[in-house]
Formats: sequence, structure tokens, C-alpha cells
Amino acid sequence: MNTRFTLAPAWKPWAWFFLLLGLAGGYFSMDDSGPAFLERQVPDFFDSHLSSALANKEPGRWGWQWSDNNLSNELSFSLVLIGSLLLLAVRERDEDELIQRLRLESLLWATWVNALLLFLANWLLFDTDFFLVMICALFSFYLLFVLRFQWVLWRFRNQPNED
Amino acid sequence: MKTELRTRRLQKGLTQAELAAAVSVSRQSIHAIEKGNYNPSVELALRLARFLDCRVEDLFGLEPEN
Repeated sequence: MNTRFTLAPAWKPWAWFFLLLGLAGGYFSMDDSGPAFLERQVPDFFDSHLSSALANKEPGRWGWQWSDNNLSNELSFSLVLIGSLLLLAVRERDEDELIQRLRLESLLWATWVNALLLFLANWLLFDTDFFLVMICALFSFYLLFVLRFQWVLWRFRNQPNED
Repeated sequence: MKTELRTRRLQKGLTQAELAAAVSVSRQSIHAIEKGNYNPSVELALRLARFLDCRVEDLFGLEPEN
């Protein structure tokens, strides 16, 4: 069986741990706040006029510079990405060709639904509302995949035993 | 595609779980194949035929064309 780009089942608990921790962290740091020990100077490679205007700062410049930032957003987003990517790639303990097909179908389904939602948002939401959708779109594809794959896997495992 | 997998399995006195274990797939996959919800790969069809001691054509066949 072709198992390229997949990971051992032992990664599954870690995947859920990272994803749930990232989602919880993201929820509690939505207002760009976070624990004081995560307040750090970070390399800020590009400060656009837009981001300066949104932060009520003087327009920045290109190139290397340092800026103050709370890392809770970055850590949460990284955990969500790592967790959902692991869930996307980790094999089930009883992985066979039918489960692989369910995984591929879920990937395709998530691609379609995510594109449809973005298309609708493009025509129905404007200005900062659309900007918020773009932030959600950073990880919506992965979350749609995880939800759909876990649902079809649950249904698959609960098929009746006809013996 | 039509399948005679269930008939052949019952002739051998096997449960879905026993057949699944013998060909290294999940019981649910055997269930899906028997229901006609899933067409197995060539490799799995060959493994099923080998274990059930028959030809692939005895297990699977195309529906007659209209």
C-alpha cells in the first residue's frame, strides 16, 4: 500500500493535543493579548502602510527591524497548523485502501467547501469583515478536512456487523 | 460491478472479521465490498481470490450492458 506522505499512528494523540491546545490558545488570544512572558521583540521584515495605519503607527519601512509583539497568536496558529497537518497525514491503526480513499475524498471535499465559502465571502463581505474571513481562511481548510474525515471515519467504523 | 464475495465467504464458513484479517483490511472494508459500496483494488481482489481459493472473476464481474 502506498503510504507516502503519511505518518505513523503513534502521532495521532499528539496531533489532537496540538490542535486543541492551539484552538484554545487562539480563542484566548483573539484580542492580541497574552501572557506577559510571551511579550518579545521579534524580527519584523516588512511593515506595510496598511499595518501601520491599523496599529496607529507611523508608516514603517522595508527591511530588518524589531517590533514588540506578544507571541501567543503565533504560537496558537503554529499549533493549529501542526496539529491539523498531523491529523491530515497520520495513518489509522487499521488503515487500508478504503480508509485511504475516505481520506482523499475528505481532502477533495474540504477543498471544494473552502473554495465555495471563500467565493461567497468575496461577494458578501467587505472591508475589515473580509479581512477577518481571510484570517479564518488561514486554517479553515484544515479544520474542514478534520471535521469531515473524522465524521466519515466514525460512520465507517459504526457500520453494522452482518455476521 | 456485481460481487459474489459474500456468497463465497459464507461457503467457506468465514465471518467478515476473519476474512478481513486474512487479507489485512478492516472488517468494514469487507462489509463495503459485499454491499457493492466499494470496488477493491486489483491487489486486494487478487488477495481475496487467493484466500478464498477461486478466481477474481468468480468474485467480481461487470453488470451486463443494456
